[in-house]
Amino acid sequence: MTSIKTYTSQALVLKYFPYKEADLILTVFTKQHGKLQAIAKGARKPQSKFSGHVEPLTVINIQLARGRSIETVTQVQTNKAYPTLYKDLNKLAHGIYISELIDQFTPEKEPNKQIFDAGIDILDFISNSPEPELKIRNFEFQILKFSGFLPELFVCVKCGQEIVAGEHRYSVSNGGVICLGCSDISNTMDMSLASIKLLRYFNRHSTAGESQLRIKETTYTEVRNLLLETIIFWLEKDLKSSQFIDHLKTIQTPLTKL
Amino acid sequence: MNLNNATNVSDSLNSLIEELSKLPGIGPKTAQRLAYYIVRQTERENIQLAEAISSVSTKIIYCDKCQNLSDYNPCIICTNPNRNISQICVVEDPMDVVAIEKSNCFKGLYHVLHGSISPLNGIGPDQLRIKQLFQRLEKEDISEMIIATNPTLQGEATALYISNNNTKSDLVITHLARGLPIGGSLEYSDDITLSRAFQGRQQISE
Repeated sequence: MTSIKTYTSQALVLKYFPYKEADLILTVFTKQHGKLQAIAKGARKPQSKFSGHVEPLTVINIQLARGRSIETVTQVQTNKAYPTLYKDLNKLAHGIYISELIDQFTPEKEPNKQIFDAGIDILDFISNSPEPELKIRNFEFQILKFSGFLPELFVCVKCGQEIVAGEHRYSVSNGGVICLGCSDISNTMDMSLASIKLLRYFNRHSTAGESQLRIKETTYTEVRNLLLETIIFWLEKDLKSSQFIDHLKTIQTPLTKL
Repeated sequence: MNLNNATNVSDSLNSLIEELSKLPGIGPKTAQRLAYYIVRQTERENIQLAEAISSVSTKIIYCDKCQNLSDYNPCIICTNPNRNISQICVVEDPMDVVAIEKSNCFKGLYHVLHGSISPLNGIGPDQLRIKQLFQRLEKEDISEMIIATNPTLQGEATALYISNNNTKSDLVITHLARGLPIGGSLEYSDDITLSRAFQGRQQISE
């Protein structure tokens, strides 16, 4: 009889779905082994030693046993939980959006420590900051960059000439800025100088500093649309949680606290 | 149809296997075993089973008030004069009503949402019976709404959504206590549960 091979890792719980009577099948993004699926047996019972630890958006230390198709969770301990996310629907929706982005951009069993660290960083920020939107745009840029889809921001994606300030548009399908001579209006998007500067700022600074930036609403909206279109282009689908965030913005939210 | 497990014996048997394998948790092998079991049952027992299945789709309806599954509209809970009509307990699924009724600890009315907000699965507030809940709050004389969604990410999102969008000013909104389960272990508790258990600690009465 061969012994069960187990291994441990730090992980972020991305999502789960119920399985059989009381089990959960988790999707966790581990720091050392990349994204994995694992079964947590009995996790839906209140007395389970797993329950509470395996909720999405929880950073955990997890011990896994290798399985034939998916791993089995043998031990789990919360490393960092975000109770403030669970008290604010807007924050929670943004947190779910981050987990969906990570889930969609990471292939199974391919570790990516940069995305892992950026993911924890942005969840910390959403949890603590009243206005996390700009930082979330930076995270979108970082996940594109760390997944190999960094948009070109300095030379025209078609002719390779250096971009002249103010004379540029953005081509999602060509992967970056495009000069006016090469661009076709119908297939490209408006891109102001301020937007290009903001994206270049994101390229230089993956972590702090956005709070000191003074960004016009129009620039923010333009950058948001550019990044969202780029994400949808590479993923070849819409993000469901992004639609939910948009839905929340359309409704009035009286401040009735739970 | 899974032809590997289907037999060449009978088309009706094959179609039974196919129908049974559509049920949750029933794989092709289990479906085959169940089908052969049904074949060996008496005709009377099989007709009873068939009638029970067909009657749930013809007789069971949604209660217009609480949205729970019932044989009657309004259901027997909504029409029971002994229930406290000023309290309403909001739950995700009909099974939650069964669990709460079994515990015998709540004598008010219910409202069943039939799911929880799950952005990742494309389930938003419009797919749930939240609109009906707000209509009830407007119409009925309810003073307390107890939100009893599951203490999961989706359940909390649903609870926050309902609470944020309530417009009835004199309504007290509560949710069920969070804390340690009976028979559980402090050692294995997660941080959020433990911190909520401390927040909600109670004096031991003499």
